[in-house]
Amino acid sequence: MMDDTDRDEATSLDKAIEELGPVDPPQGFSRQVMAKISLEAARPRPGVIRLGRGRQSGADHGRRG
Amino acid sequence: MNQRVANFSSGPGYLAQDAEDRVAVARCLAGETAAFEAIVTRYERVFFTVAMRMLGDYDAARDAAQDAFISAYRRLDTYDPGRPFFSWLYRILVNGCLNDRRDRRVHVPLSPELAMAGSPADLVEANERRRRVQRALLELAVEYRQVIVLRHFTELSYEQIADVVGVPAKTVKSRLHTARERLQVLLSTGESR
Repeated sequence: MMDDTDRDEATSLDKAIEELGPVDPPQGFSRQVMAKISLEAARPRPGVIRLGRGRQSGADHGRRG
Repeated sequence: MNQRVANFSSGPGYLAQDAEDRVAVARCLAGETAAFEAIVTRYERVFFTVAMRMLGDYDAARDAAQDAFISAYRRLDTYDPGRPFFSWLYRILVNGCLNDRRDRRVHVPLSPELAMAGSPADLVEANERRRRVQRALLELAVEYRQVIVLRHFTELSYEQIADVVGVPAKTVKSRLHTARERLQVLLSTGESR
């Protein structure tokens, strides 16, 4: 079984895998993610009722009959 | 760097990063959404690499990495601060990749990274080699592929991989052993084509 000590002896298989290398994300990736997250953050959470506008949650609607 | 398995993260390591991650998480939970950017920036490259090696498809990797960050943000309030943040984050990514694999057929792309020195012939040969390894990775069962990918493309220890995958560390070692054997067979017999 491979142990931590085995990691110091890179085999040809290790080298072949390592040769795949890292992959850079597309340019603007983090900006795009943050834009979506900002939209997400601005969206009302399920079950949260905005007073005075919009629809009420289903649970709340049910209680009112 | 000595001949250890590769990792592509920068910085002093996950434990040091974890403290910074927790600060960012606390700020996010306090309503400061922009604090999440530090987490995205810190993990985007290694996440993208893991997703690419798990899925073998650039667009799918982009979607998986992006979905993982968004999903993590949505679920930040379920994160248990008693456990490492990076393990929790990786688990979301890996589970996302596994779900993605169930939903689509394997597509084997040419490697997008071409940063190799040498002659055009060397470049072609190296690219072909990498394509064969990526194909072989994709032919591994997911339980083997995920441990190989996490072991080679992140700085996670066996115990940390175990936490991500949700099995004991000895199972991680056993799976790695089997994965390497199978990968070797795939590569040496040309089954990966």
